[in-house]
Amino acid sequence: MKEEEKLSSVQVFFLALNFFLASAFILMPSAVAATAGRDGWAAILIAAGAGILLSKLYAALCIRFSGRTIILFAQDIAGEIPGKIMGLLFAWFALHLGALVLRNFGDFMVISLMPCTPLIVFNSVIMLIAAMAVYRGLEVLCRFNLMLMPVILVSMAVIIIFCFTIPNFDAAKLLPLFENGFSRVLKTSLIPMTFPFGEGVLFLMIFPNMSNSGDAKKIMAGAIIASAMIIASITAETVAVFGSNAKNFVYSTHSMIRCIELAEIFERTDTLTIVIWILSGLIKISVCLYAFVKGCTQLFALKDYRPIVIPSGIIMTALSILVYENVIEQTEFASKIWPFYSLVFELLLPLMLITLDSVKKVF
Amino acid sequence: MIVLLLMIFATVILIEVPGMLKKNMRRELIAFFVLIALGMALSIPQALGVKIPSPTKPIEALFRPLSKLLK
Repeated sequence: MKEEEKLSSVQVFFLALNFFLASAFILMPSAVAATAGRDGWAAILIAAGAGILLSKLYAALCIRFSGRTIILFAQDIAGEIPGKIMGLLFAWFALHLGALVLRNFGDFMVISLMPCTPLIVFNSVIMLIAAMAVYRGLEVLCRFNLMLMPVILVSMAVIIIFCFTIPNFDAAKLLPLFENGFSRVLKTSLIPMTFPFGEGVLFLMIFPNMSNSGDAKKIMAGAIIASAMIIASITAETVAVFGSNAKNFVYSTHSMIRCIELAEIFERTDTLTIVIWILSGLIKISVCLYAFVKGCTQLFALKDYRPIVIPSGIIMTALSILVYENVIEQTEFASKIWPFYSLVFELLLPLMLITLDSVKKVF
Repeated sequence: MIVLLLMIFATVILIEVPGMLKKNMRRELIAFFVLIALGMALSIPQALGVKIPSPTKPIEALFRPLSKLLK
């Protein structure tokens, strides 16, 4: 094994922040509007609370088994064969998530930017860059992310501030609060809890590389709070601009940003969405690819993960093309099936491992 | 399309395999070829226009009953 790459806490914080923000910034407003109506922002804040609890679970696992990833400690806890099955499931989750993010990425580019270009062009180009980043190692990925972060955060800040200037903007559209009852908001919060906050389970593959893994809990909680504030404010703004129509857009963030016209000189800010989408989508896909590749390396006891990066990238790209037939199917899957399907990997698997381990310690 | 795809696979193999052979990494070589074969199995039919069943379908069937909770 090559010398372990060590990451600082700041690097992991920004990696997690970008990971949570990536596709949620564009997709979340429409996703929560469908079931929670105008109270989507509240669902996101509740989900952030649940996400912090989840990340506490991950951090507890990470501290208990410092220096080992979920693939390795699953085998320690559950025995070799069940542990390997859990590891395989986890690797599948990373692969599937990566493919879905890649598909979202390509779909957005095709629908809102270049409708005549085939999907595979965007997917393979972004995968090429992601594979390159993963090939160079986790440390390079983190530094790359740190370099992109100012661009992404400034673009988001510009968008959030300038949306107040849209003529249709009226904060009164957010009222009345909880008109369909609070339970509906609670139910909806399952969507943002599993996407993006619960997806932080992939960081179980990255925590062992931190130089100070005791910080994991603080880092994840901080990243979740920061990203939840940004996503909740953009969601509230889409409702303030579009009212109850917000749920009818596939990408309501993007449609809202198109409306920004400031003093006739500051127009066409929708390029900023594309900048955010490409840069942070790239990082999210890289993290998924890294988790899958690292998972396979440890499952099959390989010495080096570099040789399997490119084949894994090819599998992910091929999978991203065939997972859905169209965007409607994707929205359906993301809002109805994903919350329950992903919960198996995000909550059930880690919870099972930690209970098994605690029971083992008692006896 | 199919020619392009095969060229990509050939390039990847040409780039990665010699280095692994030199370092005598047998396990890596096996893993590499298994993953490449999986990648081929997923991508070549698509390039030829053959429909492969999507993994989304069984997952959907499995979790559909639960999704009523979100209504």
